[in-house]
Formats: sequence, structure tokens, C-alpha cells
Amino acid sequence: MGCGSSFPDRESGQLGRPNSENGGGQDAKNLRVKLVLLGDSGVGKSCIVLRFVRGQFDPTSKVTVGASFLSQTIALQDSTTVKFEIWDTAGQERYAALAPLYYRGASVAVIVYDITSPESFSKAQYWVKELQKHGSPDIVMALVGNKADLHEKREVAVQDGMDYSEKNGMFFIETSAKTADNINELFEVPLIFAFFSDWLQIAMRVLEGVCTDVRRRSGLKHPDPMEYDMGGTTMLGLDGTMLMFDLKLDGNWKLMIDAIQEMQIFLQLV
Amino acid sequence: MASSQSDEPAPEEREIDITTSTEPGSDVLWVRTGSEQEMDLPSSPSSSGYAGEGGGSTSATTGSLIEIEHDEEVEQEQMRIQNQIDEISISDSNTSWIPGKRHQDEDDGSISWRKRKKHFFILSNSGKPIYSRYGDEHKLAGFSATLQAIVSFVENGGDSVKLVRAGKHQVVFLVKGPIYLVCISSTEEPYESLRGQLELIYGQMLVILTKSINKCFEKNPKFDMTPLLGGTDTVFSSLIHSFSWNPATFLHAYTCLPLSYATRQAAGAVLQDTADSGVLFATLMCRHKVISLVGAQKASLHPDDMLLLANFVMSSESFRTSESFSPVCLPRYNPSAFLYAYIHYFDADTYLMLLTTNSDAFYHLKDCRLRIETVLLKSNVLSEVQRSLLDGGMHVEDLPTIPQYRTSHLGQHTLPSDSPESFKEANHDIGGPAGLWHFIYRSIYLDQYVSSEFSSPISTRQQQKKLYRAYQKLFTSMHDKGIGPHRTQFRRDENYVLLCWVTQDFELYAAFDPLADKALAIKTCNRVCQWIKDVENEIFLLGASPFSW
Ligand SMILES: Nc1nc2c(ncn2[C@@H]2O[C@H](COP(=O)(O)OP(=O)(O)OP(=O)(O)O)[C@@H](O)[C@H]2O)c(=O)[nH]1
Ligand SMILES: [Mg+2]
Repeated sequence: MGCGSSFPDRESGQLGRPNSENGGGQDAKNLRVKLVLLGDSGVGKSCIVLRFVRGQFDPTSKVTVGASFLSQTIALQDSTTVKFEIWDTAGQERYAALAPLYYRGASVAVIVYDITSPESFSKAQYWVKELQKHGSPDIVMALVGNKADLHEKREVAVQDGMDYSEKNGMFFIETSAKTADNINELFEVPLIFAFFSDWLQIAMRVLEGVCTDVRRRSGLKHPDPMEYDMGGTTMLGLDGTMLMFDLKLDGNWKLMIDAIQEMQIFLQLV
Repeated sequence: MASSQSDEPAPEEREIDITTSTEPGSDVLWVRTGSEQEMDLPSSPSSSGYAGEGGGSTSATTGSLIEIEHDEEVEQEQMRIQNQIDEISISDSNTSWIPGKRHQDEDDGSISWRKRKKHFFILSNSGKPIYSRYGDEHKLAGFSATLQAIVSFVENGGDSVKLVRAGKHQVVFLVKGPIYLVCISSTEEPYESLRGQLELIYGQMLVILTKSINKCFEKNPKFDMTPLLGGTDTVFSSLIHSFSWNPATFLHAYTCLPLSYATRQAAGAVLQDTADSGVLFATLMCRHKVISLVGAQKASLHPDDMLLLANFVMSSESFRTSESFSPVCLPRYNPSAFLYAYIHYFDADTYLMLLTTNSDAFYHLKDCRLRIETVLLKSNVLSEVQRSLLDGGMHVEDLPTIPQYRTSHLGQHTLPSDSPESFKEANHDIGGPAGLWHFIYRSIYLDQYVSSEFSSPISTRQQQKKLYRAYQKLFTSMHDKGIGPHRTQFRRDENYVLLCWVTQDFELYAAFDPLADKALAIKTCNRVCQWIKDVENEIFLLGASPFSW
């Protein structure tokens, strides 16, 4: 498994690494990330996407048919742009068999449940298993407990979501499309992993190990990883690549990009 | 030749007569064995209230009914359904229509549920509820079981139930393999219309699920289908609603948005390009009206499929939010397979549907749409569409007065822009010439129809619905194989003079003031036909018709 198989669409500019649309400017990079949302009907997938893409929340239910396609481009501080291409799938049962149509080729899968509905949490686990079985092995998965604003009706404990995602090497976050809580974070975080997994794949082939934290959260698997305890934001080790970052801190994007560039140079040297 | 007005006696009887097909197992053709009046006979004052009691046969008195064997079990079932139907009485709801399922809290025990004028049910042949227009399907399990018992009883005898009459109510059955569709109605619509509506409801179900659903029942007869239809209530409710306003539901034809020939050509040309690039059907629609449509070589789209597809798209709000890619089935094209539909709204009314057999075609279709959009904007198609929406189509007031008048255009009716209301006011009680209130013209060759705009005195929703019902009845009688094909029909009642004229090329249905002069009305119909010829470039999609079954 190499970078080629990880992101088969890269040639057509589908994913996540700086491509050549540099447009003259030194720093201008345009990234593209294909992201798919899966989960039971009514958990709020469409609301999450519309909150992210249009900054709106419409409480009236508009059950999705088939799948909706939306895109959103965000600009990073260093003039890098990231274009999200989002498949918001229908959670209705009759569409379950069609899901591969939409998650095939996606680099990030966001699996959503509703914190007030244990059934939707079970459904989320079904999707995780489905992706583990039939999805691309390199797909980055994020588990999302939505409707966090309804804490008085909560029926799925935060710890349950965390435990499950930890076990399955997924990123985890609780969100509220209604209050916008954690919505931007949700899209940034898996993006980082999607973006990085590409690099980490390369790094792993060349080097010995990766930072456990990154490896675990990004869903990457590596035999006998070396553990590092670090306080810094980025670091390159002789025997491995280590990346640490605080996702809540502004300016991290810049650091991430820098890190990638450094790593690029480093890998070329190796 | 003129037939007398149809005076349907409101039957006082409480019998249930079961009319069955004479061909065992046939579920396609209903053989009409007698007139409706006959079916309502005899008015035996039987205490239990259904035919077949006592003697076990009604055939002796009516001659038109297939005998149903006397059986205690079915008697009980019939009693149960009779009792339930008895309590459904007529109520008029005048409120304007909102999509979606209402009265979710109702069940067969609630008075309000029983008062509904027209019920539709879908159930499985094991009696499991699948869909109900009113009330929660799951709470209607008992009622579904009753309906199922009637169907299966008669089916076991080698016949299939088509119609049960119970006083003011008709109960119409349609059996489609493991799926039963039932309509209970007190609207006095003809049996054929109600049956046609059940066919459309079944078709709508296929649009969502395809016929492969039958396999689930083969595997498990007790299969619960309701989860598979989750979130589709609005699709069905808006279809059912269209039975009372959209003539396409009984004409089996589609209608176009009036546009200049050049505008429609421009839209057609760019759609043709996409059809040549592997798209099966490309359709540009404005609400339920066609702007243009093309099919790939040899592929043709049935008007009923168009109706069901447009209803599916328009009643699913999520398509308005963003571009979508969804499986759909076109039952007349291929009931067993899904096609994939790319759907995009250009504005609140205008949307594009690109259909393909290729599940991977999304990005290609998205590119097609971008190209189409560019052309539509450049050639002002979208703004012309909006203008046409504002102007409306043919107004009876604009019927050219001189038959030879050849330069007529749709645009000539321009309303005084300051106050369209006062314009309407001024025409009150007038309508068009010779008391012409409204017309529908259906081109047989094109599979298209055009309907005039409603104007006073047919101005309220209720009046429009009533007129459609009258047309529907007229249509049914014109196409009644038992009576033989009519060429013309002239009916006068307290509401309208209705005139119908059928030729090889077209059908014209026209409504006049009830006091209209017959000779003048006929002359006016000629003028309408001439008018339509004069503007056919604008009201119809001409040229290579993809509708060539
Ligand atoms: N309180 C609260 N309600 C939410 C939130 N997100 C969504 N909802 C509500 O949940 C309902 C369903 O949301 P959707 O986004 O349509 O659900 P979905 O997951 O897209 O459902 P399908 O399209 O059927 O798969 C809506 O009526 C929203 O009002 C949230 O964060 N908080
Ligand atoms: Mg949705």
C-alpha cells in the first residue's frame, strides 16, 4: 500500500496534496478533499454540511434523497485553499446499498450519530464496520456525535463515543449544527489527517515509525510504532516523523504546511 | 351526437357489491359488466348490509355481478369493512394544500379519520400496512388486515376484487403481485379514474423502490416494507393532491411551458448535446411543465413516467438545497431497474434532470449541467421561463374573435401591469367568448396537452377541482370501451355546459357557462382548435418526439 493506492484519484486532482495549480504565487496551493457523510436518517448530516458550507441552520427537516453534492473552499492563512467536495448521503434505509457509490474514492468519511439516539449510535458502528470491510483502507474516518446542544436529552455518553473511536482508530468530536459548535473543527481535523496521511504513508515507507498519536487518530496502521512524548508543534526525528499540533490553536495550519514542506525536503534528502 | 347529462343518483343503498373480473387472475383489465346504476342494485333492505347475504348470490337480480360464494368468514370480514366504511362520511376540506402527511395521530378509530373523503392505502398481501394517506400506517394494522382478507378471499376463488360499493362509497382494489392498493372514496369519481390513480400510486412506489421489492416478499411474506419508504410521505401526498388539480393524471399526456419557438429550440439543442454524450434522458422542467426534453436514440419517456418523476423531484425538498444524484426507476421504461438521476435547480422553479444508466456518471453529468447552464443563461432561456410563468399560458379571454385571424400570439393578452386584479374583476361573469370558461386540448400524436389558464368564474381552488372532476368523468366516458368511442359529447348541467370533441389527432374538452348556446359553443370550439394550431409552436414541444412507443 503506497501513496498510489491510497489516493487513486490523485492523478485527476482529487485529493489532498498540494497540486500544481500554483497560479504564479509561491505559496498558493490548492488542495481538494473528497468527504462523505454517513449515518442514520435524521441525525443531522445535512444540517452539519449546510452549517459548514452556508453558515445556516434550518430546523425544518428535509430528508435527503440519494445524495447531495456540495462543495466549499476555505482559504488558509498562507493562501493555500482547500476545496471540500462533500457527499451528503441519505440515511434512509433504502439507500444503504448505494453507499459505496458515494464513499468510493472519498478520502474522509464522517460518520454521524445523534447523541440523543442510541439506535443512531449503533447505526454509526454499522457504518464503521462497513467502511473497514469495503472502504478504501486509507480512508480517514471521523465519528461525530451531533446535536450536542440537546445535552438534557443525551443518551449516548461522550465516553462511549470516545472509546469506540479510539478502538477503531478514528477521530472523534461532538458537534451541534444548531449552535455551530465544533462544526469548523470537524472539517479541519479530518482534513489534516487526510492531508497528512498521504505524507505519512511516504514517511512510513522510508522511515521507521510515526508519532503514535497521529497514527492512531488518522487511522493509519504501522507495526511496532515508536512512541514519542513531545511538547512542540512539529518535529522531525532521525528515526521517524513526528507531528504534534493543537487543533484548537489558530495558526496551526501554517505550522502544518511548514511541517509538510520540511518533511518534503527531508524525504528528498533521504 | 349528444349524450344526455349524466345524473348519478346518490345511492341510498348500503349494499356491498363486489364486481370481479371475469378473467381469473387478470389484474390488468377490468371487464365492465354493467353500468354503475346496475351495480348499485338491488336495494334489498338487508339488515346486515352487504350483498350476497341470505342467498349467497346477487347475480339473479343484477346479472352484472359475479357471484360470490356464501361464506361466513368473508361475511364477517365484509361486515367489518362495511362498518368502518359506514362511518366514513363526507366532509369538505377547503383549506389550501400543504405537502406532507397530516393527521398522523389519526387511526381507524377516530371520527376525523372516518370522515375523510378519499382514503388511499397500500398493503402487502399478508395484510401488513405499507402506506396510508391519513393516519399512521402502523395504527391501521387492523384495518389493513380487513382489506387484505377481502382481497385474498376473492383471489382464492380465482377472481380478483375490483370494486366494492357501499352506499356513497366506492372501494377500489388494485392487486400488483404481493402488493395491494386500495382507494376508499366518496368523491363520485368514476371507477376507471380511481383505478388509474391507484396505478399511478403504484408507479410512484416503483419510482422509489423498483419492482425488485417483490423479491423481499418472496423471501418473507411478512416482510415489513414501511422502513423502505421512510421519508416519502410527501411524495405520495403530493401525487394524491395532484389527482385533483393536474389533468396529466388522467390524460396521460404532459404539458409544456409556453415559450417562443426559438427559446425552446435553444434549450433543446443544448440538451441534445448531452444526450449525445451518453445521457439517456435530459429534461428541463419548470414546475410540472416541460421546457424541453430529449432522449437518447430509441429511448422514449412515457408521459406517466414524466409525471411521476416530476412529482418525485418537486415533492422532495432536499433537491432544492443542492445538486443531487439519486437512483430513480421509470416504471414504464423499465420497472425492474434503477436509473441514476442528476438533479439541479437553476432557480426556485426551473430544474434539470439528467438520467443515465451509469452509476458513475455524476461528475460527467455535473459538467453537462455547467455547459447547459452557460447556454441557458447566454440565450436568456431562464429569464424567458420566468416571464412565461408570470404571463401564464392561453387565456380564454384572448381567443381570437375572427377565425381567420392568423397572427395570434400568446403574448397578446398582456395584463395591465398596474393592477391585474381589476382586470380580472372586469371580466367577471364573462370568461371568453360565447361563455367559454376553460378548455383542455390534448394532442394525441404529441402526447401533450395544453390547458387554458383559469379565470373567473372558475377562480377558486374548489371550483377548479370540481371542473377537473367533470373533465375526468367526461374523459372516462369518452374512452369507455363498453359504450364505444364517442366523437362528440355535449352535456349541460347546473354548473357548466361541457363539450368534448375527439378526433384521430386531438381531444378537446371545453367548459362553458351553463346557459351557453350550443351552436355557438361548437363554433367556439372550432376557433379554439384553430387558435391552438396558430400557436402550436409556442405551446408544444414539436419535432423529433421522443414519445414513440
Ligand atoms: N437540536 C438540534 N437539532 C438538530 C441538529 N442537527 C440537526 N438537527 C435536526 O435534526 C433533523 C434532521 O436533520 P437532517 O440534517 O435533515 O438529518 P440527516 O442526517 O441529513 O437525515 P437524512 O437526510 O434523512 O439522512 C432536522 O430537523 C434538524 O432540525 C443539532 O445540532 N441540534
Ligand atoms: Mg440529509
